[in-house]
Amino acid sequence: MKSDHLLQVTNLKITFKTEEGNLTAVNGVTFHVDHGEIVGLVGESGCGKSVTSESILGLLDKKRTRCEGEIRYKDRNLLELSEDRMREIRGNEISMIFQDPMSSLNPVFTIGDQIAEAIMIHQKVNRKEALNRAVEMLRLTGIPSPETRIREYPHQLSGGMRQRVMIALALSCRPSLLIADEPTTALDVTIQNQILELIKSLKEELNMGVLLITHDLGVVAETCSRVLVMYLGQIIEEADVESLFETPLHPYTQGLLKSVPQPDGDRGRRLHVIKGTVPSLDKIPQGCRFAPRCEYATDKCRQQDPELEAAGSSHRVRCWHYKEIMEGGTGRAAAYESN
Amino acid sequence: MEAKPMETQSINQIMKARRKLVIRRMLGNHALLFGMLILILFGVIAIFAPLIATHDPYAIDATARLQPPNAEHLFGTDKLGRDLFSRIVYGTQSSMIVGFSVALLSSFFGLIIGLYSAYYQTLDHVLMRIVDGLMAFPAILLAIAIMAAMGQNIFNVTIALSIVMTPVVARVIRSTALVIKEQTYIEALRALGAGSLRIIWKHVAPNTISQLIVQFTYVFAISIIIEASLSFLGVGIPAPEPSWGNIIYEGKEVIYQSWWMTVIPGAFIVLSVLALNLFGDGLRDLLDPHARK
Amino acid sequence: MKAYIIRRVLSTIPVLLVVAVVVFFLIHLTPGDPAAVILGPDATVDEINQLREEMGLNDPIFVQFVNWFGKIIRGDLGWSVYMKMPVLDAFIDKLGPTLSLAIFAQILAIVIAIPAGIIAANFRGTKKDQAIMTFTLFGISIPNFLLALLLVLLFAVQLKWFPVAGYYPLSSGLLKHLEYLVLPALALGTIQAALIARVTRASMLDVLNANYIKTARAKGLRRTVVIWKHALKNAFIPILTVIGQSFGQLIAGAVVTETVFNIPGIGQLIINAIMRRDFEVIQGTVLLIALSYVLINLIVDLMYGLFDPRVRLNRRN
Repeated sequence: MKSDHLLQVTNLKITFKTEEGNLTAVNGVTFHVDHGEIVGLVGESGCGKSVTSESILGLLDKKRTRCEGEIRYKDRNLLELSEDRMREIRGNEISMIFQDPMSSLNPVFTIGDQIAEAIMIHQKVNRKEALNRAVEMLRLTGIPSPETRIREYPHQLSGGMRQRVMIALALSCRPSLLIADEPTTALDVTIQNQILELIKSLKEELNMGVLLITHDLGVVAETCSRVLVMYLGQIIEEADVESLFETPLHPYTQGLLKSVPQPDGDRGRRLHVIKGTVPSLDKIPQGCRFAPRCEYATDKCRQQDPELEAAGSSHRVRCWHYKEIMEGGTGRAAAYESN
Repeated sequence: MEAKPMETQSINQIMKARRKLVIRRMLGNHALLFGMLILILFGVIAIFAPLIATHDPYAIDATARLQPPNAEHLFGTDKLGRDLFSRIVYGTQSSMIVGFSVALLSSFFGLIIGLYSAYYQTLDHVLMRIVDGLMAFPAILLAIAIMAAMGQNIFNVTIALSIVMTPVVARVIRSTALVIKEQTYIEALRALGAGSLRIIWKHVAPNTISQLIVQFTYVFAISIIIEASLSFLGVGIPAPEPSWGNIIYEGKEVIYQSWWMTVIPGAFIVLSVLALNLFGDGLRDLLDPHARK
Repeated sequence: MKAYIIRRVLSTIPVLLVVAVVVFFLIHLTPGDPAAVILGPDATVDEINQLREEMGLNDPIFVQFVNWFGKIIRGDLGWSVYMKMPVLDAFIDKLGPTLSLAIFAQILAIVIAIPAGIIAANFRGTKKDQAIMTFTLFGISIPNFLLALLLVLLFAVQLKWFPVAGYYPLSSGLLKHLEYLVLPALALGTIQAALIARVTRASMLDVLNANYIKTARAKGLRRTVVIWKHALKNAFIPILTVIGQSFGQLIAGAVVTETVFNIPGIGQLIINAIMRRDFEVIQGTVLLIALSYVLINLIVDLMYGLFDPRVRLNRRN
């Protein structure tokens, strides 16, 4: 079935082989990313979002992980491609930037060399031409006097500039898809905004699709057009960004939104906290994975794992009782019963 | 009133569970276990040497020279007819005593020097220059020079090796202590008014103990090797006192006919050092959470 | 970089001073009265005292140290009673064979150890890794004289592939020179190789966990390039340190190995000096070896700048 999405992930399942047995980090995840849109992938640490993104580029350790399902990029299933084919795609058609720019750049090579290297592998040009293109990329990402910068080393730049270098590196071969794994988490708040604006404008210019992974809902509100919320290896809600913030359907999403402290809210009120903690991968609860922490959980929730079902034109949610919760009342009563 | 006893009980349970976990991990670590068993074996041999030896290690018997291993002489005899089994058993005693003493002394002094250097800057500059200077001498050469000056006996071997090994331990303890010192809880302690000595001994030192134990095993291992080398050169434990090294030294001239004089004490050396290295490696894996995957 | 070089060189001076003090201390530990030894058993107390005055043996310790230090600086490291030549000359005379042996052993060690360590790190947890780790474990658990003897037993006596002992200088031809050095270099080098391989593996494992390796892979680089270009250059600094230290240990190990293989180098010089109670030779040789160790480590430290631009450019990080 031909899909017209840039990236279509279908039923992705990722299992880790450990000494204690097989752990399923990602369990049946399905989503897509199109040209020109920024899709946010949100969740707490350990929910599987980084693992999902790394699996797209085949960066996971083949000996210790097993990926099942389909990752379709422009009609090719990436999971079935050979390592040689994957290498042609990495950095070229699909690029990735990581969380901490200081440790993501090799400290012993100049930034010019590192960008030129990427260009030289994928485009048949010599070193001089590659360095010229590197300068262009650096200019594009807003780095002043790039001609001198290319001879500098990562430790000589500030955090914000390093992340710009990472972006220049990732976009040097004009990829169609950019995967950004927590690109602003390690940066100062003032710089964060600049980087996000940069990503947005470059997306426009190159008509890229962007998969933005983050745990920060503020970032999502700023940049994304669509959002996927992950919990413990599953997508539990998917919507366009306005719908998600206005009418979150899943209790977890509601909890996340309520947990964001309001600067103009009532100072005296206690901060909202989602009770309990994320269970470890070897102790995944039966039934709905969020049930142990959910104030609306019923017996049905604890026994049967809900499917992702449509709840509007572009809104999907994985919850048995979302309708009742939305209408309010009934869900609450059920919660008191089961307790 | 009800809550308190239950709380203490759960703390005890937690500690008991923790101890069980450590023991289980120790037993699961085959290398550690193997090393420990061999070490215990050698320790037993060293302590009960007089009971285990079959003959007097110094007894010369001109009629029984250079015999291969047989029923009467389990490891054969040397060129003076002395029973090699008994000599090797007593050699175990020498090596274990030297190794253990050197490890103990250098750990003790290394700990003190390392801790105080980490804590007092000026002392650090002075001490570390001395340590660097001492470490510029290859261990065996310094030991040789000291022994040549002070005379050759087991006591001087121990002193010489301790002088050589202390700087090594001091450096490791110092680095560990420096890292600990930078931890926030130490800053907190100082903000609370805790005195330097108290911080050093009550808080920093205990966190260096795991490194110290690992270093202890390594120093023990290296001391055995160096002592054997010294004895092999004729400048270690003096003949006729038996030592693995000088048995091999005496066996060198007859190595082609009586290879067992080289191989058997050699096996003892390798086994004891191997056991110590395995034990040290295993201990380090156990104690240092960062070393694990 | 310049500031780094200057600082590093300056910090060597106190160390050299400590080395000198230690050797001086060793000299004074030596039993016996040098004047009495020189004059013989028939000398009177007055004669001995007079010679002591002349030799400066009654001066305060500090003065003696300064005098001795002055002599050292000028290259006068004492006189060998047995060989009837200055200690320095004897040392230089015997240096050749030891140097050949040490360099050969070091090259052997590096060539075996670094690839082995990289392979072990790359195939971590597999049989290859375990085999290499077991081999290195044995390597650090055996004293080199024992390894030397076993190698002789196996390769020289049993298999007759190499000569049992002896030494031929370069002037007798490169092949013969090397042939006689193979077993000794192997004995020395294997143990160092074990150490270097372990450090290489540990350093590579550290580096391979770094984020920039993920970035390199995400760029589409081949695994070999990632390891040999991106990882190795970063891993090299601790490896370089250990190579510097191992060279010092090689010189020390040569002492023992030369005895086994009858090589007329520094090792034999020291051993003979011990037997003959030629104290000045022992002290002078130990001093020179310590000095060269400090020098080698200085060179190694300065080479860091080659590998790590953070060191080259400024003190940050």
